[in-house]
Amino acid sequence: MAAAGPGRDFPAGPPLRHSARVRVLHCADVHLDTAFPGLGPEWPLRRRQAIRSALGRIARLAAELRVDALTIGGDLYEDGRAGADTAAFLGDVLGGVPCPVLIAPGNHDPYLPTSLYARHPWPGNVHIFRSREFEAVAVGDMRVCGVAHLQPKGTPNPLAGYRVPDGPPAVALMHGSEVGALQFEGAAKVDHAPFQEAEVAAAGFAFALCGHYHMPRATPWLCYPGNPEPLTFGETGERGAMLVDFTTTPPTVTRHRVATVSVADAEVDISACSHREAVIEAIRAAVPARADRCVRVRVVGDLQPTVAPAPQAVLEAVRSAERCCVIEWDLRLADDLDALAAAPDIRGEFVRILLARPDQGSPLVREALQAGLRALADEDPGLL
Amino acid sequence: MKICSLTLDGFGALSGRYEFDGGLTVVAGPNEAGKSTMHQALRVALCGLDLPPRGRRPRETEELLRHYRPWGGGAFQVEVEVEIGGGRYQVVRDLERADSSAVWDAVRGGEVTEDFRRGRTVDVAVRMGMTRDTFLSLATVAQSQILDLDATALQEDLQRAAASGGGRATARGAIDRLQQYRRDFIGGERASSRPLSKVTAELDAVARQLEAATAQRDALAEQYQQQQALRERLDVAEAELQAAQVAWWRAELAELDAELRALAELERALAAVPALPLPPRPDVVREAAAGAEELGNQLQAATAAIAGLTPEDPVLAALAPITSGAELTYLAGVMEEAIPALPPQRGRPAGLDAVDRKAISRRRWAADLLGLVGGTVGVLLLLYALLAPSGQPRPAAFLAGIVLLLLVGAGVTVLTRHLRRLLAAGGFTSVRAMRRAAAAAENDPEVAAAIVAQQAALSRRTEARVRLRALDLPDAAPRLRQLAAGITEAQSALTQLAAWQQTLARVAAEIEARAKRAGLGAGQPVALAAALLQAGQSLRAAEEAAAKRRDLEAQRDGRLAGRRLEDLEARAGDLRQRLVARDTQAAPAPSAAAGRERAEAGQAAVEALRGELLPLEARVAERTAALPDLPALEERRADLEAQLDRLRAVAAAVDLALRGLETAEERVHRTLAPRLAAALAGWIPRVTGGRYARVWVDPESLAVHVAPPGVHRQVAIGDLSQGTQEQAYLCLRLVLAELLSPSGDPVPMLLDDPFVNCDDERCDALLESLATTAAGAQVIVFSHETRVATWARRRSVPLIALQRLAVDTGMGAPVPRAPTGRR
Repeated sequence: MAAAGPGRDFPAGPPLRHSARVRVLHCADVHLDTAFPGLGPEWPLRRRQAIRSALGRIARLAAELRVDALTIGGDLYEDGRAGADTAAFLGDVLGGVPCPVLIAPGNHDPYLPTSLYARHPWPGNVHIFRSREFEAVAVGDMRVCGVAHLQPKGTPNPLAGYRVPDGPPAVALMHGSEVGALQFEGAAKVDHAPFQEAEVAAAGFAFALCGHYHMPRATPWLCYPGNPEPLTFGETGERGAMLVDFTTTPPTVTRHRVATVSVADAEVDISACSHREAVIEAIRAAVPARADRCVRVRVVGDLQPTVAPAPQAVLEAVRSAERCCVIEWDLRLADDLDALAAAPDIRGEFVRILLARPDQGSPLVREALQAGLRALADEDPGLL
Repeated sequence: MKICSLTLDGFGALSGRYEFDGGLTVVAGPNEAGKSTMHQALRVALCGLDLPPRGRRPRETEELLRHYRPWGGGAFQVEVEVEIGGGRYQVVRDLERADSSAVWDAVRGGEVTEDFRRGRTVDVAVRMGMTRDTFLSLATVAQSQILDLDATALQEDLQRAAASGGGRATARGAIDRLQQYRRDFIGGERASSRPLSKVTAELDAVARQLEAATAQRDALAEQYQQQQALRERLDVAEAELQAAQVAWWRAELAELDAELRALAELERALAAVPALPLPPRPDVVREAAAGAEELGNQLQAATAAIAGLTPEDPVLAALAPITSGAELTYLAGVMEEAIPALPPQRGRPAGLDAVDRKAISRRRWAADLLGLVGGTVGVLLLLYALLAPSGQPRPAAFLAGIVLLLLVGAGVTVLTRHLRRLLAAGGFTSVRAMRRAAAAAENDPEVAAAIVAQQAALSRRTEARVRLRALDLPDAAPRLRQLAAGITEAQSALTQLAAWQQTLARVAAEIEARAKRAGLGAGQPVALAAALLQAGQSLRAAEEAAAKRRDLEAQRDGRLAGRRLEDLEARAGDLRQRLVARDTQAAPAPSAAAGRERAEAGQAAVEALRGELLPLEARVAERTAALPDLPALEERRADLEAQLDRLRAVAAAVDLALRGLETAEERVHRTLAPRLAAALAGWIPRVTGGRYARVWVDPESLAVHVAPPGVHRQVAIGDLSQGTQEQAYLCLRLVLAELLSPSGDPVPMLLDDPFVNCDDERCDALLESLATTAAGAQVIVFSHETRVATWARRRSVPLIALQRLAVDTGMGAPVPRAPTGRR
C-alpha cells in the first residue's frame, strides 16, 4: 500500500479498499522530558530542548504541508517527568497547528487522571483519545479511530475482536507493538498492546498509524515513524514524521526528517597509546566537536602497561560543551598474560589465580588483573 | 639457558664476535672499552627492542637506537646464539629495521622466529616462558644492588624478585598500594569522606529529592485540577457576565440613542434661537431705553410746535423778546412827531439845529486834551533825549518823542476834521461861530421855548433813533407801526415757543443723558432717541432670545443631568463597538439600570472567582517554578547510580586483586622459602667457613636467618658481615634465576661491575663464589677492574678483554670483526 517517498523506499502495498482525500502527518514517540543520564551536566538539557525543537518542526511541517490532520501515536512525553512547562509548551505548539491534532496516548504518556492530558487545558484543535476502545474522529472524508493507553503497562491488544463500524474509510491511530517487528527493537523492548499486522485489515481498518517502535517502518498496512529525535545511541538513520497521503491509490508514505541532533558510534583503538593524553587525543579525534551530534565511543585495543586509563578523567577531558560523548571501555591488557602466568613468581601466581576463575573473561577479572599488575609495577590501578 | 656468542655488526663502537662460557665469563676492560655497550647489546640481542604492538616506538627505544647506531653509518646488527631447553638458536636482528628479527635453529636449521615472537618483536624470554621484563630483571644485577646491599635491601630485593622477577614493587608494596587506593579512591560504604560513601549519601539525597519532587508534582497536580475547575467556573461566569454586559449595553444604548435624539432636537431649537449680544450693562440700557419712545414723541411734538410757533417775520421774531408794541408805537410816534420849528429869522442861524453841539463839544474837548497831553509828553521826551546828564543823547527817547508828537498831531488832525464835518452840518466853520449863534438864540424866550421844544423833540427823536438802532430797526414809522401791530402776537408765540423750546431742550437733554448712559455716544436727539429706542428693542430681543436659550439649555441640561453630550456620544459609540466586538445575540435588558445591576452582579461573581483563582494560580506558578527538574534529578540519580556501580565494580576488582596478590604472595613465598633456604644451606657453610650451617627463610617476608651448627639461635643474615651478605645475595639471585624460570632453565646473569666496593679479599671471595655457583647457571661479569681480569686468567676463567676504543673510529680494536650473515 505505501509507496516510496522522496529519497526513501517503502514497500508498496495493495490499494486501499476505500479511497479518501486526506493527507495526515504522523509522528510518535517524541518522548518529551526524556532523561539522558551519563551525558554530563549540559547535554541532557540540550537534548531535551532538541526534542522540543523537533516537535516544533513537526508542527511547522504540518502547516507547510497543509495536511488535514497531525496524528501522534503515543509517547508524546514522559508522564513521570513532564510538568506544567511541558504542558504549556505542548499547548502552545499544538495549538498553533492549523489543523486537527489527534493524540493516542501511549505507555509512557497514558491517559491517567494525573496526566497532563487530564489536568491541563488543551487547545481546541487538539483531540486526545481517552478510551481503551477505538473512538472515531472525522478527518475529511475519512475516520481516524484512536485508542489510548490508560496505564503504563498491561494494555491489551486493542484490535483483538474489534470491527470498524460501517462508514467512511477508517484508519487506526494507536500505540502498540506489531509483534512481527518486535525482533528489530532489541531485547529491552516491551510488547505493549501487542497486535499482528493482519489484525489491522481484519478489523476493517484501511491503515494503522502506529507508535511505540523507535525504528522507522512502513508496511502495506501500518507505519511506525520512529522517534523524531534520537533518544539513545544506535538510533541512527532517517527518522521523524511521516506524511501519509491517502489521496492516491495506493497511499504514499513520505518521511520527513526533523531531528536536530544525531547520534553516532565510534570505535577507538588505543593499542598504540602509551599514555593517557594519547588516549584522550585519540578519542577526541574520533568525536568531532559538534553541537548537533552525540557520539558513543567504544574504546578498544590493548591497554599498554604504561597507560593509566582513568576513565572518569578521560571522559571529563574529552567531553565539553561542544563535544557530547559517552565512553565505553572494552580493553584487553597488553601484557602477555600467558607469559606472566608461566612465571613462578608472585605476579605469575597472581595471574594464574585470576585466570583460573570461572569468570576470567569478565570485566571484573580484567580490571583486577589491571589493578594487580599495575600495582606490582608500582603504578596506581588507573580504574577510576 | 646459555648465551653462546654475541656477534655485533655496528652496535655502538663494537663489532665482532664474542663467545661466552656456559659457566662464568668475565668481560673486562677499562672504562670506555665498550662493556656497557656489550651489556646493552646482549639485552637487545636477547629480548629485542621494547616495542608496542603497533604504532610508534617508545621514546626510550628511539633513544637507545640513536645512542648505539654506528657513528660512521653502515650495518647496525646484532646476533646472539643461545642454548635453550637443549636447543641452539641464533637470533639475528637488523636494528635499522626495528621489526626485522629472525631466529634460526642452529642445530636443525630452519627459521623458528615465530616460536620466539611476542607482538612485533622476537624475544628469547618467550621461549623461557617469561616476560621480557621478568627475564631482564632476573638476568641483570645492577651495580647498585650490590653496592647498597643491607639486610633490608636484600630482603626487599628478594621480595621484588619473588614478586615479578625483580620489578619495581614487591608484592607487599603492591598490596599496600592497592589498599591505599581502595581507601583513598573508593573507601567503605560508611566512611564519611570517601567517594563510595559520599556517592552513596549523595545518591540517597538525590533519591529523597526525587521522591519529594514527585510528591510535590503529584500535589501540584491536585492544585492544577482545582485551578482547572476554577478556570472552568470562571469561564462560565465570564460568559454570563458577557451576556449580561451585552444586555446592559444594548438597553443603555437604546436609552442613550433616545436621549441623544431629544438632545439633538434641543440643539436644533437652540441653533434656531440666535445668541444675540447683550450690552455690557443691560440694566442701564434698559433704564435708558425705557420711555425712549415717549421722549421721542415729545421731541417730535416740541419740534413741531417750535416749528409752528416761530414768527414768519424774522424781524418780529427778533424784536419780540426785546421790545413791545407800545414802544414800537411810541417810537413810531416819535419818529412821526414833527420837530417844532423855531420862530423864523429871529437872529438865530438855522444850522444850529442841525448840529449836535454836545458832540461837537466832546470832539473839541478831546482834541484839545490830546494835543495838550500828547504834545507835552512828546516835548518832554525830546527834552529827555536831548538833555541827558552824561552828554550822550538818547535816541530811543528821542525817537519815541518824535513818534508821539507825530501821532498826537495825526489824532488832533482827525478829530479836527470830524469836528469840522459836524460843524458843517449846521453850516458853521468853527466852534466859536456855533457858540455865538447858540448864545444868540438862547437869549429869545420864544426861541428859547421853541428851542426847548425843538430840542425836546429832537431829543426824543434822537433817543428813538438810538433805540431803533439798538433794535436794528429803521426809523420808518409805518414799518414801526406794522411791527407794533404784529409784535404782540409774535411775543405770545415766542412765549409759547420758549416754553416748547425748554421742553425740547429738556427732552433732548434727557435723551442725550440716556444715550450717554446707554453708551450710544453723542448725536442728534432724534437720532439718539431712535437709537435708544432701537437699543431698547435690541435689548429686549436679546433678552428674550437669551431667555429662550436659557430655557432650552435648561431643558438640555436637565436631560444631560451633569453629563456631557460628547461623553454620551462617546459612550454610545463605545457601546456600539463593544456590541460589534461581542457579536452576541443577547436580548437587551429591560432597562440600562437593570442591565447594569445584573452585569455588576456578574462582574462581582467573576471577581470573586478571580479572587480565588489568582492566589491559587500564583501558588501553582510558584510551586511549579520551585518544582525541581525531574529529568535532571533522574539523570543525576542515574549518574550517581552508575558512579556507585562503577565504584563498587572497581572496589570489587581491587579487592579481587588484593586477594589474588595476597594469595599469590603467600603461595610463592611458601614455595620459594624452603628452596632458597635449601640452596643457601649448601652454600653458607662454605662462605662462612663453617660458622653457619643452617638457613631459614621466612615464607612470609623472605627474611633470611642462619644459625651455627648445633645452635638453635637464629641470626639474621643482616647481622653477618657485608661480604657474607653480598655473597649470600649473589647466591640467592642465582637461585632465584633458576627458581623463577618457568622452565627451570636458569636465566643467565649479567653482573655489571659488582666488585667496585670490595677489597681484594672480598672480590676474590665473590668471584670464587660465582665460579662455584656458575656451575649451574651462566654468569657474565662485566668489570673494569684489572684484578678481576687477573683473577680470571689465574683461574682460567674465560675472559673477554676489551681495549679502550678509539673515539674517532668507534671500532673495537682487539677483536676481529665477526662474520655476518645467517647460519
